[in-house]
Amino acid sequence: MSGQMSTYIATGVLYALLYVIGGWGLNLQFATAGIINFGFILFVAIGGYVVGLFTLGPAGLTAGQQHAFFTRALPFPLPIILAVVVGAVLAAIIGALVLRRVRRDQQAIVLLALALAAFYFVTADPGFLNGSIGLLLIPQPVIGSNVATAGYEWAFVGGVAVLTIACWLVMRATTESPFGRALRAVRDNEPAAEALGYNAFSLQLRAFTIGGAAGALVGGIFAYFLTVWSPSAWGFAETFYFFTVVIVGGMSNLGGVVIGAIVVVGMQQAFQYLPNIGTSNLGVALQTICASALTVVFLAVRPRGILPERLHRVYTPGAQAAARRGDFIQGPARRRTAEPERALAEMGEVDTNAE
Amino acid sequence: MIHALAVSLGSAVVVAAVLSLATIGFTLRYAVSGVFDLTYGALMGLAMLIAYICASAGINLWAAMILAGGCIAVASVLLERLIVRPMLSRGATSWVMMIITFALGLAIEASVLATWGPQFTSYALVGRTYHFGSVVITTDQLWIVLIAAIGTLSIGLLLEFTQWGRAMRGTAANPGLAESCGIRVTTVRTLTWLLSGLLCGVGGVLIAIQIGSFMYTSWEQFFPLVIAAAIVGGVGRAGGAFAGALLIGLVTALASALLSSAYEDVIALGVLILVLFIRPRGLFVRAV
Amino acid sequence: MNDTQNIEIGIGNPEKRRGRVLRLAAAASALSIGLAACASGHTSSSGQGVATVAVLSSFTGADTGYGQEGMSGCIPAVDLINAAGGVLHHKLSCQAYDDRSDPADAVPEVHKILASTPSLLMTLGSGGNTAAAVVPLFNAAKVTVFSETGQSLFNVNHYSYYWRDVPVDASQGYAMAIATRMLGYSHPAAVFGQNVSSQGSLPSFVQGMNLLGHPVATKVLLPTSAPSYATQVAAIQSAHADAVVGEIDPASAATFTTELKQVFGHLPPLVGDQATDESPFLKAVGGAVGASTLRQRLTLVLPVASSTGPGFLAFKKALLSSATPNKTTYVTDSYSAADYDAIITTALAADEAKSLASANFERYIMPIANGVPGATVVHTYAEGVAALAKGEKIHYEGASGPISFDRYHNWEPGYVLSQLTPGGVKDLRLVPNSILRKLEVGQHATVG
Repeated sequence: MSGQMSTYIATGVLYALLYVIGGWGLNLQFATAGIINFGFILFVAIGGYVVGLFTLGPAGLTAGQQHAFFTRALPFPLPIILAVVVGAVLAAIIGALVLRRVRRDQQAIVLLALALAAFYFVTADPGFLNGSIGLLLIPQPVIGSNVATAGYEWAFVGGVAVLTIACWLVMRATTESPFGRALRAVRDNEPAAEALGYNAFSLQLRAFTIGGAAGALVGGIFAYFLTVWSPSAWGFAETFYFFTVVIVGGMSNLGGVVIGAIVVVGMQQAFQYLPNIGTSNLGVALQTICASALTVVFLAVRPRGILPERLHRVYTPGAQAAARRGDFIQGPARRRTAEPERALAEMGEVDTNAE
Repeated sequence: MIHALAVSLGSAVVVAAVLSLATIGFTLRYAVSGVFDLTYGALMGLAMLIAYICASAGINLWAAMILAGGCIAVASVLLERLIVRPMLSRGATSWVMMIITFALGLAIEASVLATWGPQFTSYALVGRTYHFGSVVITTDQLWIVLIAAIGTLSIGLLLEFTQWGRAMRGTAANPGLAESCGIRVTTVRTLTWLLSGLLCGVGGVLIAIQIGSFMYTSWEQFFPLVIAAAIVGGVGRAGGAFAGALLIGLVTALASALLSSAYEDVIALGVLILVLFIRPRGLFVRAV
Repeated sequence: MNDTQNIEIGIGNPEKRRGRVLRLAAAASALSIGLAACASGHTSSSGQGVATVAVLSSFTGADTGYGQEGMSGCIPAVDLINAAGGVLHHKLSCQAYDDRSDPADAVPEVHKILASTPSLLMTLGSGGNTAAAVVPLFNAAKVTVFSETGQSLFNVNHYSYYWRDVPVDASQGYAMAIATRMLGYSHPAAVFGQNVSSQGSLPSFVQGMNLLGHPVATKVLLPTSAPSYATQVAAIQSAHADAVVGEIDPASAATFTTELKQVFGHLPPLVGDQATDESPFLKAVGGAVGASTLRQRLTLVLPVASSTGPGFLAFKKALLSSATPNKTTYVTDSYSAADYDAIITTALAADEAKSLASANFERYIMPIANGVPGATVVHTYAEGVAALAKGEKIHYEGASGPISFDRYHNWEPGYVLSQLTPGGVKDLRLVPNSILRKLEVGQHATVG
């Protein structure tokens, strides 16, 4: 295998790992805690910029004729650690505002609007984060400049793999713990959970913060890898691919997210090989269509994803019936019938399903 | 300063007019089906192209606009029956619908770009310019304002005074109750999507006329404004939607006159976020 | 609206479900990996006798249109080269790769190109959004790259395999300032958009006008693709600007010029740079205000290119007889012409070095482009090959006219004021180089 092919595969593996880490972050926020974060990519953006700002320093800014509101060169691994910390802090602030004051079904719109507004703001002000051009010449960990040998690439991937395992431990500790169970209770039935004494807001805020930190980690790694971080790398539509990873792979299932990441990255790379017909790039179009179709089909047919959430106990017959129906993430069916029996069955009062 | 503010006011009115019909169409879908339809923007873009194709074939532009509206109306009904209704009846929640409609919008955009290509086109428009003091307006912009005003008024009257309008409002407010009152909710929904599709198409063409020359992705610049106007104006009210569009137009125009013009979009989205924090039902809806 | 999201718990027999689902998951993963792996065998006609020019540029995304521009320079060049026998008995072919205007997508494409393209001769493309990420990778792999970003990042360029045959954004800004004064305007409105190259030329234009003693009347930044620019147009009007100078992306430009024409009653004089010469811009604005109006009112500040010279005519002829879509719009596009020249120059260097490897022919590129004393001037690939066969040194002057690279592999062209005509571009007056050099080092100057 040539060195170039080896580097190409290393890149693919890296992207899959990044989708895994980001997918886990979104998974925690969205599938486990029930917060629909349509602005997830904002945290990825934050992580990337923090790494850029804390690696370039004034010398780096001048070398690339760039402008930023603040910079200071710190040695590795401080910048990436800072990226995670800043991501967590900003997630906590945003979460504190959005989760408390905005209704659940409108949280999605607010978060989407935030990501969009951030994009417009960064491109509008060239002095803040160097506008559309973005931060350039970001030095890579340890070696400093972009060397791109196959050996370094694989070492980079190795480092990210270690980080991924660390993330997995954190995520597992978070989701399969009393904290995780409390989160799910809040997600499924907030009034009941509150009545039981859980503080929904505090639980969700913690989940949102950890998820945001994961997103920032992805952004930081990305910035190191690309050595460039500009608004074109974090358009709001990128959030959609993270959602695809979680929905297709498995809602609230860590292994499922891994599968989802492999599917998405594999699909992205596979379609790039189609020949171009005429002026259009058919590969890109088909890739988008395929990702969309995959998401829609899964939401319609198997909303739990490939590897669904694993849970252990259930109590009410109504919930049992719902589970057998397979409505993992869907609300009670809004059937507009006047039949009281069916309506009551949905509420779990009467068990009309033959077991 | 006065001059700049006068111009801002003029431009705000035009922008509001351009956005208003599209906003009403968007908010109707949200009201009656509960779906925050993110395919809407891609359909607006499609309407622009359909109108262009018709106009190039020799059809009068305004007729082409209605034709494009009709096509999108049909597409919307298909969307409602084939995707929205089955998913809703399985109990899909609002975010599921948002993701599905967003995915569909992306798919439509990718298909159009692959076939039509990223070229710029324009309707060949010729018109006179009129000056009202500091405000300058062209024939086409006058037509846009007229169409928007008539459209908003008619839909407002439709919703308020006709049987169908009442059925729509009833379904929006409480579908279960509407059903038991004898309203055929499914039919009302289909008709609402039909009407909303017409507005979407017409709105898209109006946008294309305003910006002069467009390519398929030009709808992306307007869609956040439509969403902002719809939310600010409140769900399901024609007058509210127009007021929301006017407010968004005013805010962005004033912002660019007083601050820097680079932050228009940020400010429009900021208004949206603020409204969702403070008064999620919308600014122009009486708190019930 | 349903205020609470009732998400129900899913359960079931974990063991049975897991088994079935894991098989499904394994199948899905295998399918994706299999697809990617199997597909990696694809290229165009692989095997002996074919060399590839990779066009890694934006076919989708924010910079849509650059990709097609690149292909419109590549296809005529490759046609002419193949007609003259190819490069060292290898036929060339253009391969398009989409970077989606996004460095995150560009980088895997680079690795894919390097891993799977047989006989890669060179790479074309990479605009401002992706160049900084892409160029170091190609350079490390010793592959020649020509690209069109004017970013000042590369003004001091140490990547020995990287060349730019388009002028830097900053110098275009200074040239526009001089041109504005040459046309007799003393209080222009500086109007720039938010994309990468606009943000590159604005500062130097403003500074240039200061140094020339006539500061701009107003500075207007256009947010990309806003619904209306009426306030900005009003600002220009109230500043009593006598010309509108700048660089805007096509989508915003269409709306902006429409409203400009409305408010002023006519299109005020416009001065634009090379980016304004690009096909998407001209199509967008021409569609909005009328092509003939645009031609009358727009003055372009372009790098000196002999648009009637034999090099350009060869390019034009090859382009119009090629299979390129929308070819007539690219005849006046100086970026396509620059790409065409890039390929021909590289091919000639490969011929002279008798090797297809950039590591071997890279040092011939500068002499061929800049010329050495006693070199034969050639205007087409065929002429170049013939001269090389006779053992002569060559100096290639192509569609962009004479190019001269400085030691950083950048081209510091002379500039010329030009006007668009239905058939192409007409040169009016040269921008004095002496004044340009003064502005670039911050000295005051006057335009006589």
